[in-house]
Amino acid sequence: MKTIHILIGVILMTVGLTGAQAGQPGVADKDLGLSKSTVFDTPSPEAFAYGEASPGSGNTLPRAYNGAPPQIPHSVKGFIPVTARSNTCVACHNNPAMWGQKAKGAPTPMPPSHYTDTRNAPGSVTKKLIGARFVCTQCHVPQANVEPLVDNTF
Amino acid sequence: MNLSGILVLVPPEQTQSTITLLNALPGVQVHYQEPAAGRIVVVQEAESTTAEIDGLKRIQALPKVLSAAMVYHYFEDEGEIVAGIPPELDEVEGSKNNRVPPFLAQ
Amino acid sequence: MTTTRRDFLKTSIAVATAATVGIPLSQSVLAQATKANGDWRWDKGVCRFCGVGCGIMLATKNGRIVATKGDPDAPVNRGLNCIKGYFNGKILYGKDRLTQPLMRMQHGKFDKKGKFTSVTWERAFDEMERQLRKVHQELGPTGMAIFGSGQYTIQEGYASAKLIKAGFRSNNIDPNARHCMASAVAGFIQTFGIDEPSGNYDDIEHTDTMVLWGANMAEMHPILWSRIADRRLSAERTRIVNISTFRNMSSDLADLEIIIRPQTDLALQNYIAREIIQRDAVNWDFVNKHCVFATGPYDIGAGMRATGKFAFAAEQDIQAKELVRTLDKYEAVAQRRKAGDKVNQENRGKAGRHWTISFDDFKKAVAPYTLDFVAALAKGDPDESMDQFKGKVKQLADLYIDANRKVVSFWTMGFNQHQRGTWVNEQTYMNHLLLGKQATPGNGAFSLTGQPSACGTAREVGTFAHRLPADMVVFNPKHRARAEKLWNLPAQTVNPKVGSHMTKIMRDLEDGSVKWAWVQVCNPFQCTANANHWIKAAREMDNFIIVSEAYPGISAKVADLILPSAMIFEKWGGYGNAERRTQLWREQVPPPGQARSDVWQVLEFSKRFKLKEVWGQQKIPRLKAKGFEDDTLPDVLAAAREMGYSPESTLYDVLFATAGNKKHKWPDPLAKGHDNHTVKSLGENWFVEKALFEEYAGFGRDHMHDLAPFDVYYRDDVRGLKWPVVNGKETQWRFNEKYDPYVKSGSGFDFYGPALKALPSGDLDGVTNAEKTSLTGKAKIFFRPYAAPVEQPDETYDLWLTTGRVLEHWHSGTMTRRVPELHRAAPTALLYIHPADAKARGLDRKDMAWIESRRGKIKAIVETKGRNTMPKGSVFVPWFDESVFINKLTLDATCPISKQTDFKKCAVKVYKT
Repeated sequence: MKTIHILIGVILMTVGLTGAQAGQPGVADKDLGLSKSTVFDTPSPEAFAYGEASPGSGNTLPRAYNGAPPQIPHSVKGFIPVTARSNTCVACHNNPAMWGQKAKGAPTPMPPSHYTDTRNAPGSVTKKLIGARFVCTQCHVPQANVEPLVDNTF
Repeated sequence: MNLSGILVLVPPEQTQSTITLLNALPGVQVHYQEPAAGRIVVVQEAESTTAEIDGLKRIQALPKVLSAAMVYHYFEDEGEIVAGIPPELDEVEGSKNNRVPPFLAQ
Repeated sequence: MTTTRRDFLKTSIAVATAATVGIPLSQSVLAQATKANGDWRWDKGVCRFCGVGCGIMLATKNGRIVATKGDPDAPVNRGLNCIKGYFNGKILYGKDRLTQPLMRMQHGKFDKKGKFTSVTWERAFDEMERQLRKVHQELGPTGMAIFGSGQYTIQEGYASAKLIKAGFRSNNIDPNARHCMASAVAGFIQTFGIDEPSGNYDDIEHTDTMVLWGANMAEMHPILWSRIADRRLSAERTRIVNISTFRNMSSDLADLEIIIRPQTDLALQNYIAREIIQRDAVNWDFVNKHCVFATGPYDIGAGMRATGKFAFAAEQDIQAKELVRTLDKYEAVAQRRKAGDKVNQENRGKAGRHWTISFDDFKKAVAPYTLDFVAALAKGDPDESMDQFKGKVKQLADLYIDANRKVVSFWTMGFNQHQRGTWVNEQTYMNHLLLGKQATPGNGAFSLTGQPSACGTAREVGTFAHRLPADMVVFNPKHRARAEKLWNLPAQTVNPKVGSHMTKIMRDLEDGSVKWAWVQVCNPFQCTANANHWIKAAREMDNFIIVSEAYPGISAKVADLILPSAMIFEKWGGYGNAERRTQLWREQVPPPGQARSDVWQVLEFSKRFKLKEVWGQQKIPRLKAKGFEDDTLPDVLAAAREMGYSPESTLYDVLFATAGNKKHKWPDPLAKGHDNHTVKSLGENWFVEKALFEEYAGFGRDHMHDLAPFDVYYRDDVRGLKWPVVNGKETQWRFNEKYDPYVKSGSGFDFYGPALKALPSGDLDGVTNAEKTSLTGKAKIFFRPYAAPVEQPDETYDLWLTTGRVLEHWHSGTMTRRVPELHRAAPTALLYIHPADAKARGLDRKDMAWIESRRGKIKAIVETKGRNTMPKGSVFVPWFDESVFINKLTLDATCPISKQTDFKKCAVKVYKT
């Protein structure tokens, strides 16, 4: 059996496989995937909590990449839901008086894109938050205190 | 140093003449144009925010210019580039004190 | 600051400005900008996730995606993305990407109980081939099956469907779209004779009334929701109604929220129809010219098995209801029977049968659905007063009927995943057609899709057990003949017997009638209801399961062989969204390791079978069709020889590497420097994806499904096109003379779909005149009664369970849970429950609880607040989380017409761990 394994290993290496495990003992299904259990098990999901920091006290979270929407670094208790009659997020994030651009804890200002009606008037920045950007939580989400299930190399 | 991306709207037939005027302004450079629609994109470089707003007003005051709006605004500080907010948005109605801006309160 | 750096910045700002305001930039400008952006290459693409079909822009550098953004030029989303959409790039880079074939082995040989060991593609295909030969020998073509997908690219779906239907002569291919859209499809076909919506997303900006029926668009169609929010906030008249079984995020912007008991939407719609008639609001001009009234049988079962042989002990009582149902008082009234009557479900096998009825019969049928009757049945929140509920229901009818209002009804899984999913779809058309509010800008019943190519691939290409491309079906001899002609096959190659639908393939695995199954672009062992049966069958019985995957999810863990697949931007492809918009993209980056596109996998595997092995006489159990010997597909090898095929030709030669396809050469200038690993890995010089697309498009051109030429979709100024594309022009509203070139001139409206357009006539009890009348150009207004859910809470299992998706994760979470930002936003699936229900069970927020149904039990964390507010008596658990495997609990009852599973209602109990 050993011979066969070595042979496969050689073939894999010659076709340029990265991290080939041939010749190694295989992986059990319970060691694959996000929940390290067999498909017949009943795992206990892990408890988690979202950040409790109040607005203005939290640091900003790193952007996933240049251009990605910022995540919410503070507790959203009392701020959501965003409804047609009440959008508490804009009280700070749409408030130029609070946008001291370098002060720590100042609300992240909304960029011009949020004031541009890209559907009906793509040429102009208005003074209004555009309705299409009104439901903040469609793009901006709070973060819980959990580790990634697997690393990401993006 | 402040850099701003500005969209200038003119009657289509005035596109070329306006471009000449724009390029003559201090710190202003025309980058793209869409003559059929009379749309011109310029980038303006200014030393301060005040100078930047003055520059925008100068563009708005040019003959034949229908409108000039700041679309992008960058300022650089200690080597870090931060996306800021067009100063004109300081005037966002009702955003200072009201929980909900009037345009949203029904 | 150096001059170079300043210039770099200025160029970036200028490009950003121009892009924001939508000034088209020339290639040279873009090239310059690319340079300014540190050698990023930007190209257009489409979002990987839901059925909305947002355009995105992708930046790549050194063979990796470095950034994505909403495409400002895409009419669907105009530069916006939702939180998932922003991570289209990042989903490719989870550290446990599958990069090599893995086979269960022991002592160097395949062993079902062995561990996953990496093998070469060659070795993987060898085993697949060996296993398929064995199964083919034993069971014939129906012993194999393909689990397909609404996330297939158009070309992938087409290649797989052609391989199994034309090559192996089996119709056992069915997509996960069966769980998603089948009821919508059946509703379209029965009502209009042709699939897919008449309207488009611009309806949102044209209408002033939007009614959501079982569609939490705020979470599941976020970008359409942003368009709705914009409409709501900028046009004061706009009203939004959210009809649901619990309060969800869509209620936050709604003007009217109606919480109903599960499945009572059937009664609610009949109330609206009754009101339309009572208030004399029927648009008779429209109805007389363009509609007929119709109905069908009531005694059609609930899509479960007819036998209890495979049911667990606890399942027996529900299973028995498949054959005999005892009517409750609400069902009884509507069926003109008595409460307590036991009704044999005689029409289980003929659920789709229907006939025309008179308007008088229709009126008589909806008469019992008074406000009092419907409110008593439908009120879903025990804490709401009856008067308030009645007021809301009446308001709903007012909004529909108001002559000065345009109305769009949106729905998704609340309707489609429903034991009477086809009926409830048809009822929406019923009300829109009665009012004449259909197929005009801002008016229409609009079925939304869940998956990115549920329309473009699963439905249009026809990767269903009964379908062929362009709305054709295998049981129609004319359709088979047309497919055989276009595919250049001998007559009677295509099997006329409908194959197994998705849930049935699972049942077939359990009863041993399918023993070889290939899973493509889906995760069926996590997404199919009553999962304990299927994972057990797959793991413990004699069968061979192949799973093509990018990441190891539940299905991969169940598999015998895992094949590493290329993901969306690692291959050429195309999707079609819910507004008939077809969008194509280029390969942006190479797949990692040995991962390969699904098209390559299918084509490469097709090289291993020769005509002589599959085109001889074949045994097909229960095949009965005109011109065919019972249970038999004829030998077509002689006819094949006459057509110039050799028995030694491979399926690859005959189906894919045809002379016609080889005319499309690779490289192709439209690639603009982008690679094609599929073509290279096949060692070919023809453009596989273009050839497959053009061949497929041949089915729909001049047949009401016209697609533009392949190259057109790659033009810089094109952001997808809505079919039918006739004379270079896309179609905005179908069936409307002003917009649709297929409408007969002078007719105003023309519901020209050809399917099921010759019907017998009858009354509410059945057919009275078997003579068929032609209904060319007409749409059908169906009467469909209320029917009770087959499983309801009782003393033991005392709560309703509803399942669904969440904003932050896509489907079973295999991609999005590997993006840390999305994982942290929604780490695990929570059990949403009313605080009083939790308290009564000794549970508090964040406690761990058991949830148990007749079919299994799992654990989840209790949530009594948050985005969903449950009425007493109902719980909600999303299904994205494999560690909260909720489909072990759900019931595999389906709509008997569409065969789509009802994931929205079953009974559970909840208790402390």
